[in-house]
Amino acid sequence: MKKLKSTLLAACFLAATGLAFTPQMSNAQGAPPPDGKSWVCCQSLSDGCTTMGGLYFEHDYKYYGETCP
Amino acid sequence: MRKKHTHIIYNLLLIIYLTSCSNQKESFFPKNINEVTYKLEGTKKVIDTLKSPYRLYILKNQLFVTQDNKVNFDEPIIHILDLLTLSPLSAIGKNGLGPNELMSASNIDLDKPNGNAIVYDGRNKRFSNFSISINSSSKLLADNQSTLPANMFDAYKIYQASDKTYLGISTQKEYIFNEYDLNGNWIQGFGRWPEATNSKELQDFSGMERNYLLSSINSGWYKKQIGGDWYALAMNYRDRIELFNFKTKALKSIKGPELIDEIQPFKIAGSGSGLGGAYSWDAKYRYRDLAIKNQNIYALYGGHSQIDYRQTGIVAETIFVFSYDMKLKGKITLDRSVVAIEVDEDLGKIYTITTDENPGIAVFDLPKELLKE
Repeated sequence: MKKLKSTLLAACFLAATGLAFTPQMSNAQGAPPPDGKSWVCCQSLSDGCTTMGGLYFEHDYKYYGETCP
Repeated sequence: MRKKHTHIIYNLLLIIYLTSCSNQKESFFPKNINEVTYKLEGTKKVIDTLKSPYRLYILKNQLFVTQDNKVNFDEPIIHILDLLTLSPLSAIGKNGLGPNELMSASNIDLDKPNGNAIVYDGRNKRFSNFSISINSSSKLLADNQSTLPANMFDAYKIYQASDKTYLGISTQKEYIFNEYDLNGNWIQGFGRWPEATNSKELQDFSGMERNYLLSSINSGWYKKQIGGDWYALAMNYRDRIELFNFKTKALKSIKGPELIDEIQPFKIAGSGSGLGGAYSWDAKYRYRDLAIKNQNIYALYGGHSQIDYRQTGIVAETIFVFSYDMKLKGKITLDRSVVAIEVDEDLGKIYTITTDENPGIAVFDLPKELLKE
């Protein structure tokens, strides 16, 4: 049971980490960002979205939230 | 009595604060700003082959129009137009991942010794060389390519500064302009990232993490004087343009009109390799593009957010013209919203990409007064 719980926790953590780097495409109107602790790259007219490791999405916008608005 | 003194001190401080604010604006705008403000009407031309124009570059008296990543894989990345008629001349850059193909044209420069166009592909992190002759026929594949060394992973906006070095913006360095050798070894940096006086969260970070957050806070459009030595970062969320001359190593700054030391609301999220900082969705875009020419520096200025753009289609309608002593020489108000600019000072023309439903190239006459010393 304990092993199952650990596996589930690890899976949740991996999913959350992956979310932070997933470029999103959305045309929805802007909604206020949730008070979360993650960010995503969203397509926009901005100057790009980077990760500290140097990944670069040229036309994206770094958005504070879990999904693009 | 003591209360009275306190009131006097408060009033004095208020006067000093208000005076300092107005001085900041006055030092950006010259006293004769009304005399050097020009309202221009442009002529727009829609070019059928341009599906999603992104940036403009003039090389060898031809207008190079790049397209963004919204175009289909069978569309060329760069179209070349006649400067006078805007008639399509040819196209370069086959869209793809294969040898001598491009995924994007992040910037274009002129390789002066041989007259080739050098295109940097920020998605593939590689440079492509194209030999360009006047009225040449379309040659989609590059003549040759060079991929950035793997150890330059932190550099993401890059130009070839010489036949021995690259000059780029990094996600991890404390400097704005970073010089690397051809093996990807960092040599030196120029100009430290400006701080943000009103960002308390930033104080909790140091080293590489702090550098990364500062590079996000100060992110913008990295442009080079085509075939020249000036490089600039025109900030997208702050009213600052930082310039660097690779030959003389001179650093200069354009500050204003408003957000110089402070920043718009900026939140920090995540930690470790997932660390990130983001402006709020309604943050106003400030400088939007830049053209560094022999006489002047032309900066497209917005003041509208991504939400504004979605609702109104407006990105930017103002061009600030600066002399090389970084003083505002003139202000141009355009009759329509544009997203990119390029200038030919010999022809006296400003070329732009419009942001209406059917984007095209709008051309404006550059006021002759702005070309005087």
